[in-house]
Amino acid sequence: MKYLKITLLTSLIILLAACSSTGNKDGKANGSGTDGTQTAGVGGDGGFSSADAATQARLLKNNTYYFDYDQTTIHPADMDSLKAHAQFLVAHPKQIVLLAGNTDERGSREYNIGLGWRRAQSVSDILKANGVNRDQIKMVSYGAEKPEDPAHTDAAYAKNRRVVLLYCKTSNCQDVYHNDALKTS
Amino acid sequence: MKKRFLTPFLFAILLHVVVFIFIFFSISFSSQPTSMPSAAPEQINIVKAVTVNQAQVDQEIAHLQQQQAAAKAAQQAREQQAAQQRLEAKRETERAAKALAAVKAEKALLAQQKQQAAQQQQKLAQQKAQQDQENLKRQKQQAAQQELQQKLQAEQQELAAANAKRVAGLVNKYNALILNAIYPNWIVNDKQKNLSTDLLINLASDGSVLNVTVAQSSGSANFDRSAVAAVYKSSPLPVPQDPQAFAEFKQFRLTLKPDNIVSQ
Amino acid sequence: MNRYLKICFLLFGFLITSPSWAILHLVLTQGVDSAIPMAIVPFAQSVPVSGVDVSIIITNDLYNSGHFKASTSDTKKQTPHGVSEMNYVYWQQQGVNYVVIGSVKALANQQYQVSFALIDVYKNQSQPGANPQVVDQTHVLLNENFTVPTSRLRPLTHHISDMIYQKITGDKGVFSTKLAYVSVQHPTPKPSVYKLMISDYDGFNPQPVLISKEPIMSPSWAPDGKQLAYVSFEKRLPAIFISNIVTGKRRLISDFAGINGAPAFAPNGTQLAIVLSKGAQPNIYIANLSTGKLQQVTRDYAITTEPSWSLDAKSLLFTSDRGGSPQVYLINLASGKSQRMTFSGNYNAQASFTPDGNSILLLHRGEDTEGRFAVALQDLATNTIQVLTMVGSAQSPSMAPNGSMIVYTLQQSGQKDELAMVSSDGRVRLTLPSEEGDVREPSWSPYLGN
Repeated sequence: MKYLKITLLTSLIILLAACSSTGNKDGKANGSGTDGTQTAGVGGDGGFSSADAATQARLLKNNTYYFDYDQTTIHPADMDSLKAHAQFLVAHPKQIVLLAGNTDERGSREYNIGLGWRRAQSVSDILKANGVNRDQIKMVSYGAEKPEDPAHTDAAYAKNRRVVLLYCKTSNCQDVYHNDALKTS
Repeated sequence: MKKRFLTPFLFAILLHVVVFIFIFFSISFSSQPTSMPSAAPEQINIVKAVTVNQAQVDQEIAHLQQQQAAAKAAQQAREQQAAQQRLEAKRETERAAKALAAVKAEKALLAQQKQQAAQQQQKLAQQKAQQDQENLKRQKQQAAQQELQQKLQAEQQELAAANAKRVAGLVNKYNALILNAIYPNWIVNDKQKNLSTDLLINLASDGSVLNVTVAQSSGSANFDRSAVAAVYKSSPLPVPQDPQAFAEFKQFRLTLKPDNIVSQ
Repeated sequence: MNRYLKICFLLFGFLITSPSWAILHLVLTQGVDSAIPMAIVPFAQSVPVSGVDVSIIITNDLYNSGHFKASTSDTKKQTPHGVSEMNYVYWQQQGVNYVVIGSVKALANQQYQVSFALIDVYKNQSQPGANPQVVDQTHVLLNENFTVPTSRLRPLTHHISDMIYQKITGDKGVFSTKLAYVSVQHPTPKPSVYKLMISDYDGFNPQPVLISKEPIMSPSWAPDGKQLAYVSFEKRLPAIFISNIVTGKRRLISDFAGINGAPAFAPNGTQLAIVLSKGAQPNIYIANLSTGKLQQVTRDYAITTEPSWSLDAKSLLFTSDRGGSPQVYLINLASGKSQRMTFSGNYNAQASFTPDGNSILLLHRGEDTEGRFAVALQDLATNTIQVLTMVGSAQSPSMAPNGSMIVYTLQQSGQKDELAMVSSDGRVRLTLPSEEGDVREPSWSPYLGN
């Protein structure tokens, strides 16, 4: 069942990508920082007039948004990516996303749960502002409990202050996937 | 002292001598032979012999015989009377002697009484004189003594004040030194801030702690123990060399209440 | 005033021939809050028991409390094992106030007979020069005898430490209490392993309560010492559970949408304060554990979390950033009114009342910590903050039930998280032995009835 959904979704994405006028090569060239695997971009259904599929793919592939220390404001650079996800979600009203807020490990752990929650709320607000139905958005805060980098260094801390946007396979979001899964088969 | 008693002593001797003489003479008076009524002499009635008719003679004889008998009776009566008289005289003599003796005894008693009275009077007088003298002397002495004492007291007070000041200075100094020595050894904590315990501490002359007893417990055995241990641990305590100042520290009371707790 | 009195006394005392009534009276008003020196003489132990050196464990226990400068005596000169062998003068010269002596005898059937005595070196010392070999019973504060199987030897040793601690300080010892904490390993490749653990107070004898690939957080002891409330993300989303550590049974308390966090048992154990966001802002609720009814306590739009009960259960401390930075507040449950408790520092959180009710223990950051997170105590009468940790970054302080020690997470740059302890006076700081990975969120158990 899950796999069927994924397959359907994936084929949908491929279909959308095929509609895009821009070639894959450009997208590859533009998609610096990707792992080099063949990825499929997601085009908006009319939302983006000039965005090409590769850019969309790159924007959707980005699902992690970093924050400054003790801050809940989204970096302006992340807005495009969030808008891309919003566009996708608007296009797919049954798709549910899980916004997982995280903090670095300093300070109170339960307060950090609150802080992570607030970061997830910030992301949620952007999505909602871009037309996403609130029922499609689930949030969780892991506080400092699920570090991207478990090292106890400032560099690691910077990586851990983040919200991760995950697509849920089921409505309870017990199974999620990174949009790394949005690969061509 | 001797002088005081010499006069009365001599006086007493004199009095004794006088009394003795008195007694002696009274005895000699009574021993002198007193004129006594002597017995009448028998040869007073002499018989005269003359020739007479028989009748006459007889008469005479009878008469004579009568006379003789009468004389004899008279003689006998005389003799009886004389004996009576002698007896009476003897009785009289005895009575007189007795009376004399009684008189003598009375006299002696009287003399004795008189002597005693005199003696007593003299004694009283003597005592009174002595007392007066002594009173006077005492008064004089007291006055002198008082004056001396006042002077001495003033001097002593001055001295004592100076000494006390010196001792107090030492005691104060060592008081501080002792507290300073004990406090680093007294381990307390904030929870014990309201507790207080009283110890009695006995020190040897070198300052070593001989004995510590809890005179007034804080109610907390732990707190009391901390106080006792602090004192023992500080042994020997700094004590003054001066014996007078040290005497103050031989046994002293120490109240321990941690108003101020230094963290270490 | 006193000095004048004393001078007067002296003046009179000099003039009066018997000044016995005028005994000098000194008053000492200053003491030192320092550790009490004591020696633990190595116990006579016929057969070594692996991992259990009774004298060392007692020494560590007493030392850890911060109240004692306890050391295991290493001299061969004086090794008394019985009260009759004590040379008080010798130990007085060593500068110790107390001596612990004893022996461990192996009996048949893996049983051990343990005897120990606690000796007061100074108590009622009669006279100097008195035969020090003569046993004055008042020197002996404790003299006990136990027979236990091998498995109970370590718990018995902690029990002995408790007895000694209580005899000297008057307070109950915590050496038989436990810690709950979370241990985390992040191996590459993943998955990470999260464990909810219980150990002796000194970190020995660790036992897992729950193992998960997802985070476990915020263990909190029930007052009966038999249950633990905690947050588990085992289904990716948080849920609050209560586990019975004796039977292993557990019960789901809440898994609402959004935050389910910061469980805290009420002092009577029948209620659990928790934090729920229910999809909106996190607020404090009280769950009645018998009826399951929920009562909302706060209605805030800020981060409101970390409820902690007052001793009388009439109010809750909590953390809120309603004022811009996380600070500690106190809410009266009857009136619903809250007041700010912390004013010094730009970050105060994880607050709890100390067992004596006179202070709050908290995580504090301010100018006084040079920007570090530190464990601190705030005096409720004066509001002064005493910073207790000077190294690294601290987290999750939890106080022992007798108030003598605090366990916390110590984070140091480039090092894994450790459990560390600091005595409440800040005198003794130590880190606990730990297994691989990060260990954190220690929670000190209440007194356990053994």
